[in-house]
Amino acid sequence: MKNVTIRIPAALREFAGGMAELELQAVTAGTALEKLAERFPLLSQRIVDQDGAVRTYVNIFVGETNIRDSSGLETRLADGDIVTIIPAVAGG
Amino acid sequence: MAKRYESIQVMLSASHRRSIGRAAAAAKPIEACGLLVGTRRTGQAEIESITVLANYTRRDRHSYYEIAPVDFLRVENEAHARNRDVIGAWHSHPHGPILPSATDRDLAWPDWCYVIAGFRDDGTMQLGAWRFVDNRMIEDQLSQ
Repeated sequence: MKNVTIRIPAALREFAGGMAELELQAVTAGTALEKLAERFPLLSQRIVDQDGAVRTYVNIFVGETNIRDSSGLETRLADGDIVTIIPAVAGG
Repeated sequence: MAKRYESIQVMLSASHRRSIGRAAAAAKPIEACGLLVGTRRTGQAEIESITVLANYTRRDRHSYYEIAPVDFLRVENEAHARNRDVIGAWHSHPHGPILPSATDRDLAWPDWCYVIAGFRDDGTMQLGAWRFVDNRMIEDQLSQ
């Protein structure tokens, strides 16, 4: 298990009890999101779909790397990693 | 404590308004966009800095905008380092009013600040501030 920090931007904090960041232990980005879901199910519903895939309008970064450009939910974590949830910002 | 559906005061300085106006005018006829950094308190949002970012959308940039996730990450990290938050976004309506479009509403995050820059028929710019609350966009009060 690796000790990582999950950072939650202001746009999503209402689904996380107002929490800006939390620390947890996980091996991959996917297991980090599963642990996040145990604590904040409403936040999890915004991040992943019913099949557990990251929704198209949300991006997960491990450090500076978007997990879509890496190994997705299987992206390995290292001690001290910061996992940031970035919501899509778009409109017309 | 203010109720969620009440308007809040969105503080945006004259300097930041001019920056948005310049970016929106320069981008015409495509939509300009950026993020709003500052602090939220009950009944108030204080915008301390704005960013001007590339319109990343793959749709028609005359009618749509999108901020690249990596740009959001960079601004988020910079705000975090200053103990601030990304509290909203701004974009322009090169051909329309400051009212949120259906797309703006559909893609809005709850309780986030959305500033829209529109242009009157005479070319002058106007600004509006909105939040998505209880499944509708409510207009907030812009002040300096």
